[in-house]
Amino acid sequence: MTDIIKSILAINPNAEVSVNGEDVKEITWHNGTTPISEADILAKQAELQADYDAKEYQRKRASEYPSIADQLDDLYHNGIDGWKETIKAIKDKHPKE
Amino acid sequence: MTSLIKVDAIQKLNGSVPKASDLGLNVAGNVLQVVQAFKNDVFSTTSTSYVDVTGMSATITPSSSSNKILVQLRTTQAMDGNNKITTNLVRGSTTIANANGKTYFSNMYPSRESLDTNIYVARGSTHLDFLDTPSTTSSTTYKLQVLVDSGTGYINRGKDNDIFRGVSSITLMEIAG
Repeated sequence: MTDIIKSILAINPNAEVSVNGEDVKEITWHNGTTPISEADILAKQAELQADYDAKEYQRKRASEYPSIADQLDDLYHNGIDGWKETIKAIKDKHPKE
Repeated sequence: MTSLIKVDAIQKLNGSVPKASDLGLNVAGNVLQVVQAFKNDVFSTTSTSYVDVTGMSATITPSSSSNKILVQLRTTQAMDGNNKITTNLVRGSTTIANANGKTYFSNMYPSRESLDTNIYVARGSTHLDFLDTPSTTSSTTYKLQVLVDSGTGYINRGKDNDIFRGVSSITLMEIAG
């Protein structure tokens, strides 16, 4: 789950705040930071989590793409078409939903 | 000549359980009582001034004003970004752990985890043993405070929530003076 403090910072990047136990009811605001309502924090948390979940295919692709050095080697030996084939296999394995 | 006394229990005249000092056993250096707070949940902060870490405080009542309190502090902590987290040990509202005249005993700077991803991480442990002389028989609270210079600081976890978790504790021992 997306952190509560990251959700708060997504609403107010300058917020000075402490969160204990990842509990929205255990938030302390510091140094004059205007409190944000629990509902707004939880809504932002859900939004960020949905965005994170929607990009799972990107994370899977990124973890499987060959290193830049290996891709350059692929280009040298197999040309653009060979390189595109390598990349496409990974994209097809983890399609954009 | 050896003497042997066997009893099932010892009570004071008022029926209460005697302390070591009541029995003349508070020899200098003896541990008279131990109190501990243990924390295994996560605390996160972006505060640039010292804030109390929830669950990291412990209270002890010395039995004599000449006794000392040995404070043992263990924390696991982390930062995101190219920032630092500073920890502070406090008795009541007074900082008691100083380093070279500064009001902190631990700074932690990050290292770059990956040149490719430009991800910075810093995590580590703070260990402190501090022998305090509170000179009181009143209830006395010791607690951990932290601040960050920028970014977000974490107690008991790493920068990425699902990668690293830790535990922290603060232990107080009354030492006979």
